[in-house]
Amino acid sequence: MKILAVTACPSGVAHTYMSAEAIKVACKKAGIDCKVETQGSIGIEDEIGPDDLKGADAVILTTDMPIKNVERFEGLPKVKVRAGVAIKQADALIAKVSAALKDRA
Amino acid sequence: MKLIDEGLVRLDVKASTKEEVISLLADSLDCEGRLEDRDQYVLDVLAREKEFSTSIGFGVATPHAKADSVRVASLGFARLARPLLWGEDEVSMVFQIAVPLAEAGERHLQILASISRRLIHEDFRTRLAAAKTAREVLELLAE
Repeated sequence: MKILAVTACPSGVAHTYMSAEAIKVACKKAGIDCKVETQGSIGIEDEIGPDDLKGADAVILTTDMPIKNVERFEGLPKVKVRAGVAIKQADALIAKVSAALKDRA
Repeated sequence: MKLIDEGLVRLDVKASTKEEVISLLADSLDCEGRLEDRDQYVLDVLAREKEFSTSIGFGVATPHAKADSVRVASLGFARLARPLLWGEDEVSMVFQIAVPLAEAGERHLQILASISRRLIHEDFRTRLAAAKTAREVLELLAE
């Protein structure tokens, strides 16, 4: 299973990076491949490109700020969540996404 | 000017509300000339809190403002003598962030991003909670 995520927040200095890290840690714990792009005050980092999209099962998008370039995720199941929730409940979020993906399969 | 120095690290802080902690750290920031307008900065931080509590769980809160009230990108740290209620959560460590609206130097923002990421890791939080002096806290943050 491979999950992508893009995080952003209004000030772009804290929650963007905390939620990115929380999602990464939770995926690692669950043994799920993931790549997380941050759209923060230092610009876009770890940008998700065409190669990353190959084989991806879903994308998590934080909802605190409009995410740039969402068109690239067309056709991919999207999970929208507040950055604060992604930080606090990352394990539960990843468990839910992975369960939903298994149901689809 | 560094992002954080000894004057911005406060251990054993006695406070009973989040507003108290925010004001206290604003005073520390202001004392070092890092704010343009201390009172406005407090209002900016509280406005952000009102939108969404910055408690991130694990006993940590990260109140912040990116605003004109800030002169120099800075980070204040407070460790509370007793946990207090921050929104719905108990909080015992507070990282308070101040960033000018037009921040040109990216270095400070990169450090903030890296500290934000590290806060997610339990091991880092445990060591912060155990640090005995302000210097130790600074050393941990600088790693």
